[in-house]
Amino acid sequence: MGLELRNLSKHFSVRTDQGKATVRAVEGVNLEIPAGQTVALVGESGCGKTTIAKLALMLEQPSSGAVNFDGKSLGEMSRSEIKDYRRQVQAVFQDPYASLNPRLTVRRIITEPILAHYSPDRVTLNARVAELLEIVGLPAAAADLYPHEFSGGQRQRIAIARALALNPKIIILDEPISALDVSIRAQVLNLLMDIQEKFGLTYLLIAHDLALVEHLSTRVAVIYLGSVVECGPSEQIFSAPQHPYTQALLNAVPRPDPDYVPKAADGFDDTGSALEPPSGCKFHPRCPYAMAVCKIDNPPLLKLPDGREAACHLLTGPHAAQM
Amino acid sequence: MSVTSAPTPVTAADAPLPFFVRFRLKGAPWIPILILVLVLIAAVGGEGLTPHDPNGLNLGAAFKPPFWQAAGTYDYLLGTDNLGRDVLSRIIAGARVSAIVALYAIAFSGAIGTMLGIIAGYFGGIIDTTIIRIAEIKMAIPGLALALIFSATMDPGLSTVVIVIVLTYWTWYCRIIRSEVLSLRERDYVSFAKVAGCGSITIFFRHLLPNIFNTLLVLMTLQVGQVIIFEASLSFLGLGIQAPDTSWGLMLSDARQYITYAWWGITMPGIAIMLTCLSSNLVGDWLRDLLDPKRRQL
Repeated sequence: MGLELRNLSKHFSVRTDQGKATVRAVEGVNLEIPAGQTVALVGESGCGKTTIAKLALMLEQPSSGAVNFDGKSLGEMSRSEIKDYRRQVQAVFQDPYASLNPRLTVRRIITEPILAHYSPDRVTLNARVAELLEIVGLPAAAADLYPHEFSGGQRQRIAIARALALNPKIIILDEPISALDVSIRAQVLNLLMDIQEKFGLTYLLIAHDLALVEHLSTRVAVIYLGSVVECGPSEQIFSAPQHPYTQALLNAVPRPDPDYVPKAADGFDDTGSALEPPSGCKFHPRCPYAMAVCKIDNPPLLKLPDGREAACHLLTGPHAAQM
Repeated sequence: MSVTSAPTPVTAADAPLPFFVRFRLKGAPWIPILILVLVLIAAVGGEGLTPHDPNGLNLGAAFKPPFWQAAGTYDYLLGTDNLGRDVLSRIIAGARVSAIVALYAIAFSGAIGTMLGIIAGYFGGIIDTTIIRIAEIKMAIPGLALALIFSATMDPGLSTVVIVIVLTYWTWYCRIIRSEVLSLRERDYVSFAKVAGCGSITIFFRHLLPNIFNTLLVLMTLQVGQVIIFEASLSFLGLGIQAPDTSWGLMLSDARQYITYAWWGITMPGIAIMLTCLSSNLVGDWLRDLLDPKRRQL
């Protein structure tokens, strides 16, 4: 019971000085999120990660392509099927200060998803609130407090409890720990791993923090300007990145070694724009290995011999040998 | 919070108290509340409370100064006007008009403006553009010009005053509430409510309305003063309340020409307007703090 992105695109029209233009936030993304796994989407800010999350949460409608759940496109679902999808797929957002309504008590925040679908009696509901708070490691007395009475980490626990309220199959984690203090990131991360194991959850993880991704995910999809450039099992991507963008991304991770001198990030001053994507391979203006063909042809996402997928002329096709 | 499992202990003191205990009366603005209560009593009691008939002419007692001046008497505590009518009695009688105008005008303009503002901000697009254009067209017409048109076509009086004020002020609410909603609808808790499967109505009442409540309350209490002054200006220009009814604005208008030798005729209703406006603003501030969970002192 997984989620599947099929040729998913999302374009926004914007007004610029030159008139109307189209931002291709997400462009032809194909991705499978198998049940029980954690698939991570990584990439720079503005690469379309969060738009993909919004499409999967039905907060935005795709321009083309589809998000399939159980083999059925979200766009073709009936009202009751959408309601069922809402029960199965929940989310945890980045900023725990913005994702909890300051006017509601924790009890009302956590019960919101339950009451949107069911009408249990008070005793059952209160028992469920206590159970959820216990799962996320908060005392039962927290239920009657307001969000501002908690720290960032505690607030994120409340957000996780809310996401668990309906016993979902899939949770979309949009930068779940990046807004938190470094000192409490590990706890929230452990909590996320514990509940995944306990409830057999599937995660779609949106992150720019590669250390988190390496720790949590089973599969990684690297996104550049709205398209997947490399996708494969987490160990493969992290131990031997193939696409030049993935290599650059991993190279940019700070290392806890004072003697380590990072390789010069040559040619990396030019950030790509989704408004006017470069011709051919969208990464070529920044790519240290760019060839003539890269300016003309956009390389397709193809399977490499080791099973992962990558979109680069160096790795697939007639130019592959040069790498 | 300590690492891994041990959460911060939540003590009994952190548990919420019942609402009536939480409703702490310490620090409440007692004097403004008292003033508003007096105005309400005057508005409800009306002529039953006045020491004299507010319309009773007594030309022999015209221009009596307030009691603390040499020529004043305790019979007319705040003096009399050019026709010998008791100023205090007229202020009490005029409170009814001010209170009715304030309540109706605020209720209707607030309700209409807030609803349109929420709809415009939440749905956006063509709905937003239409509502905001109408509001802008309305704002291009001066309030008094609108009042002139209405009093020319309808009978001047209390209901006309209320209609004119509602037509003038709904745009105020509409625009400010719209901009609040524009920022609120992008909040993650609104996105989450959609993810959880809540409908638009639930989102309106659970997430939008409580969070614009502060703004609404401040707007409404500020408007009390403006409405009373607007009514006073309309009555002053002869477009509002008509004699023999009275209002604070009409009193100002009547007493204006005698200001040089009977200052109390215009000062006393002016003080009544000022105290009522100030009190409503102070009570509004207090209510806002009281109802905000973050500011609620336990």
